[in-house]
Amino acid sequence: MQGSPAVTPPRAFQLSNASIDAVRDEVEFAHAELPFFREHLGGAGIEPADIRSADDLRRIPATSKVHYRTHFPSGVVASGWRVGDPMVTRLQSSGTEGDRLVTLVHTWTLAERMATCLGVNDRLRFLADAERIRTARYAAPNCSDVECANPNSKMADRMLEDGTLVLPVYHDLLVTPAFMLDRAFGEIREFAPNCLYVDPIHFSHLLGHAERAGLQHPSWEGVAVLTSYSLLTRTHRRLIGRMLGPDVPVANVVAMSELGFVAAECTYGRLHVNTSDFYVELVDEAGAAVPPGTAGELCITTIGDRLSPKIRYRTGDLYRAHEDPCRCGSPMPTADYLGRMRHSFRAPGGAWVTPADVDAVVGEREWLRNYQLARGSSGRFVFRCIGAGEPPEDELRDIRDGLGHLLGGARVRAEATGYIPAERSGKFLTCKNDYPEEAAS
Amino acid sequence: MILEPAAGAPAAQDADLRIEDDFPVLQRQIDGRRIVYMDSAATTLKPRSVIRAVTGYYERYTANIHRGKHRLAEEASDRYEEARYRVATFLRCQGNEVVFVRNTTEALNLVARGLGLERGDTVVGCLDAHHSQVLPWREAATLHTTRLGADGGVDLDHYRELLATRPRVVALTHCSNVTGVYLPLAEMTAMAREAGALVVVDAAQSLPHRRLDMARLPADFVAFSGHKMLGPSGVGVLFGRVELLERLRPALHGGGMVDWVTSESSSVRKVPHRLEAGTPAIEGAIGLGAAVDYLDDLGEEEIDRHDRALSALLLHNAEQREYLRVLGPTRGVERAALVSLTIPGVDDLGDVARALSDSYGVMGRTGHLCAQPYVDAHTPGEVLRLSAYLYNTPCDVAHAFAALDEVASRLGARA
Repeated sequence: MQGSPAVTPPRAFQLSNASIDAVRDEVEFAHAELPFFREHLGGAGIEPADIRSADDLRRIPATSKVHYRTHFPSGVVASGWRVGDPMVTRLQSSGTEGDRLVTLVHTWTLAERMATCLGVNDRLRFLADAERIRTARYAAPNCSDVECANPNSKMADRMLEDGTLVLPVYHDLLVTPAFMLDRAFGEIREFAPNCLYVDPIHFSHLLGHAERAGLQHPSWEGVAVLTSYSLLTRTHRRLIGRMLGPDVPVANVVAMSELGFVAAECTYGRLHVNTSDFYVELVDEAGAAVPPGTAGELCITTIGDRLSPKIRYRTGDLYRAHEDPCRCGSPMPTADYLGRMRHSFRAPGGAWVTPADVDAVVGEREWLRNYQLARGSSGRFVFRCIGAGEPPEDELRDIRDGLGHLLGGARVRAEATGYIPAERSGKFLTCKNDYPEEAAS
Repeated sequence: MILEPAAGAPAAQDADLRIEDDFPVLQRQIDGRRIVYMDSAATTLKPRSVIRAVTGYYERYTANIHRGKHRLAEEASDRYEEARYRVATFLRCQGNEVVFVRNTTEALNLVARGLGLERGDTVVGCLDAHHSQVLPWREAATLHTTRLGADGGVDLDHYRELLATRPRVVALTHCSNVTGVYLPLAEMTAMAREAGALVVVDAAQSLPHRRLDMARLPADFVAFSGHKMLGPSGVGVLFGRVELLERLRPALHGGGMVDWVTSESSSVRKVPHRLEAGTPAIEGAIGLGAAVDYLDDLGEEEIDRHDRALSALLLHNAEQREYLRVLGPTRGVERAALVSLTIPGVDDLGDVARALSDSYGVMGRTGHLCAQPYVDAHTPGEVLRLSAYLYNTPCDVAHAFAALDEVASRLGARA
């Protein structure tokens, strides 16, 4: 990419610094090798050679999961590649709303994206220098609970080809049987990973169980915790930090099943978006670029993916870009990850109210363990929380009133409870929107 | 702790929730007369959202659950399990403590047979219980019935005496489907637990009106039916504490309840799936989830206020009429919105029910109401029951009693 002129996006959007030549190469490859993109670009009357600027790129209609799902494999996987090839990684996105997807990615491509992201955080550099990254994963099951969350499975059953150990996990987090939590914690001890790749809500629950049950881990030294899958809330960051101590690096990363590492947090706590391996845009629903400080959907074009490239792929994730450079010195721009669009709400007037916005209102509470703001099918909001004991009434009232204000005067019921169900996919949502008029967005 | 929304809710009339339009059956006329449905203790009407949820399964994603990898199977599985979570949230219990069954009767039989009781084990029950909370226990063990006191309510002294015999199970009926009287459930459950008994609650009549908080009520099992709470027929729920569900012997063996089967052995799935053998009523569970949503959206306080208001109205109207006798206690107890009546001088209440239906559009019920020992002991043989639910209004109650006045006087009522 060096030596190529940088894409100059409009003033409103300054997130990406990938080169336009690299983007055009990607589009040319996709057009030449993949039937779906030939049809897609042809339908819009665009030839790859037409792509000379960010404005030209935006003429290509955005793509989404449905395009890659319905054209898999023949339309979106370059000829010569197939599942089972030594360097091909098969990734599966469960898709909680029927939006599932199977993707093939070159193993090295994934490794590059990971290395790019981890490179922004000095405390994670030891992973790059390690002889081998021994990863243990603890997150929602990626497939039906009939097989993947089978409580009778053994470590060998859950070892991935790349050597990652998937820890045993229950499909409904908060009622995970104690023996499965004991086993997960025991397997961390036995496997001795140097990288724990975890859903922060699941991991907090596991650590909380370990603390209550008096389970000990010999040492967390030499272990990094990468949180992904779910928004890292203040509550779960605090719980993980409290239980592991300050010497264990805990960094939030955004990784997607279909793309690998998209962003990572630096040591200053700012999230850097991977603009080395992707051309990224933040767009509104009409596809127009949004200005810094405004929530927009991340739209990604892969760079250098010669197996299954993605062009202007709408990720369904909301971000808010920063304008100022980060003190860490990374050239990659920073943005706040705000959560999934389908888990967000709309305030009167149409502005997004995202899981990150909700978390800012909920704030840091010593007693809080888990929470969920749910909008039911009738549009009613209910905030449910689980604490260590009964929450202080004034604090619960503050949260209720704060959320009502955030949602433009919506009426919010708040209740303390002992149980909040996970999603069918096994994910635990801090924000859940079942209101039909918004859930479709 | 629950904090209601800060802004005041628009005040609904306690006895009229103004939701008739949600119920297609109420839009129907029979022989030119509007329907006044007063048989909700038998089964409730269904709102459009429940009907849509059921037909949605048939029209959009018919598939069997938990096994397939195709999109429809995944969608059906998701909706089915989401329904379980909705029920769990409604009960304030855990998702794996909700077992889908066919109805309350199946749930109670599952517990009675699954606990491994023997003939010599004793079970304490209630005199005014539904047959479904009597017969399974008679089959599985030895049932002793708590007497009623002079006021018609449960005799707690006798109950205490029976508990002293150290029964293995206490089978409580939260609300009688005959008298509409609510038991002091929290008190009786606590007494039973103190005596070391498992507590099994038939909540078929109560849960549609008064939500149970399983985080606070120390009952071990609770059974209820979807069709009595706006949901479809063919689906019910057994709530059980997870450690007890794990000890419960499955009534059915076969597909869906095993993790692994070899030529000689098998290992059962975790709860609740091990108790749900075979293809369940998928659309029923999904419809029940929609019913729970509907109730949740109305709000438990609104529902409770409506239940109390209509209960008072039904009782007031019945007591005002000298030709009617109300079955069960009318003072010093909590009552649901139902009255069971006898009419001295009228031997065939079936004629009354037919006339109410055909000439006035009032749908009530007559008979022993599946509580024959109690009804036989306190009536000439059958009762006329009028039972109301969310969609009923004071106008419905007034219409029903005015109709009853006309019918009864022509069919031989004394007074």
